[in-house]
Amino acid sequence: MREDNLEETIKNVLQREVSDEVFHIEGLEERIVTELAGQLPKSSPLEALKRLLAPTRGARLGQLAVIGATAAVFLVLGVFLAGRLPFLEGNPRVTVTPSGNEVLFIMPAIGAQSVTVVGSFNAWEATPLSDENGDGIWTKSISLPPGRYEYAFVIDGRWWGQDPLADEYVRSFGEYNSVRYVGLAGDGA
Amino acid sequence: MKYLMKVFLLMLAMGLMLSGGITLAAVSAADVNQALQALHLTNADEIMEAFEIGFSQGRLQPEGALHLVKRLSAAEGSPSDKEAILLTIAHALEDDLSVSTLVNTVEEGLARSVPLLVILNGSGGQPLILGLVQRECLLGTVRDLLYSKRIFSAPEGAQAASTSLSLRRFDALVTNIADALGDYLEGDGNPYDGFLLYQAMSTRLRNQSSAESVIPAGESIIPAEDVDLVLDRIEPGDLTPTVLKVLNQS
Repeated sequence: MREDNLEETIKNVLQREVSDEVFHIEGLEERIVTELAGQLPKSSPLEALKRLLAPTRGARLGQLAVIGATAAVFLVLGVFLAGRLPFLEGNPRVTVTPSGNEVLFIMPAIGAQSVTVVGSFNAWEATPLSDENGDGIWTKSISLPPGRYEYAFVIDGRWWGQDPLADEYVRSFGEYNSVRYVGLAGDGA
Repeated sequence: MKYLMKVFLLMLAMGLMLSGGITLAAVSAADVNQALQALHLTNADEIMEAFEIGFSQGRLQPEGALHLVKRLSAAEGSPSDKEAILLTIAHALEDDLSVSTLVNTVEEGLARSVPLLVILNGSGGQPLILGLVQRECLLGTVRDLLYSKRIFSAPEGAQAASTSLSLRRFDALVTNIADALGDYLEGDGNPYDGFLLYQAMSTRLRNQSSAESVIPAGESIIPAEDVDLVLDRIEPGDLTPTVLKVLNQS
């Protein structure tokens, strides 16, 4: 119902009250509200939902409430399923890693197009390093549980296994790999 | 109506993300079996049976096994070499050995595009390369050495003797000692120098144990008491015969 309709309705009610000579202040408000309620359109559930989602201030709050509630339902469902489904038990992808240590991998490679790190922590699948400011220093921080990790950098497709920051070096398939021991104190031996 | 669509799309996206996450996490033995069967191997069933032993013992995770089989499937090389690699890992599991080193060796070799036969059998030239067969042999001889020094593994809750370790702790010792000796050999170390072999072993164990008291999902952390036990019972003279068994097989 629009605002000018509202005013019109109130004026009509007042005119009727006067013409019927029943006008008195007591109960007037109730009579106007009853009249207004009678003129409100009867809406279906779908129309009610559409009004909730209409771009008014109140309805936007309604939208947020609906989205929030939906997200909460999915989250609760996800947590519940992750904890209950037997095939997820013991799977490392859904196990929280205890005391992960952030290990910073740094490789100076000026002019390189791509630098990745491969190692025993990622099944020797490439994890890319980035050089945000273009200064030729490529970096990547990876969270690793305590342990010993062999790795090498791959710079534009060429393997480089002698990281100056490594704790030791080993030969593997005739080439060098770097090794880091990750412990309680974080990165390092 | 536009807003209604937006909300439904959001709900759909959240639902897909959630179900996608669950699906990604849910690698099962059946998935591994399916990938193995797709390789059309002669001994796929035997390999799968051994893998299932590994899954039940926690020595192999379905996710890791699936990754390995798929990577092997995509690699260049003959099906018989691929099967030989998988059979070596399967035999190690049947022989009650930890296979983390073996799986890691294959993954690294494939990432380096090393020929499958070199991954399997290594190379006796210069530099020396230990393949899967030698690494498996080394695991077995180190395990036997620990047994001969009365260091055993026992089921959880049944470690009556002080030298009976849990399977995870025993595996960590075997894996790290074998790795240290193997790396020493691949680094042109002299197999007849028992003191240097002993030093390589003790350095590895001490470094590993520096991260003790935090027990991750892996098998690489060794309590200091286990290191002391090994260094107390194994002598430099024990190590040369151990590595020579492997080198004689090359």
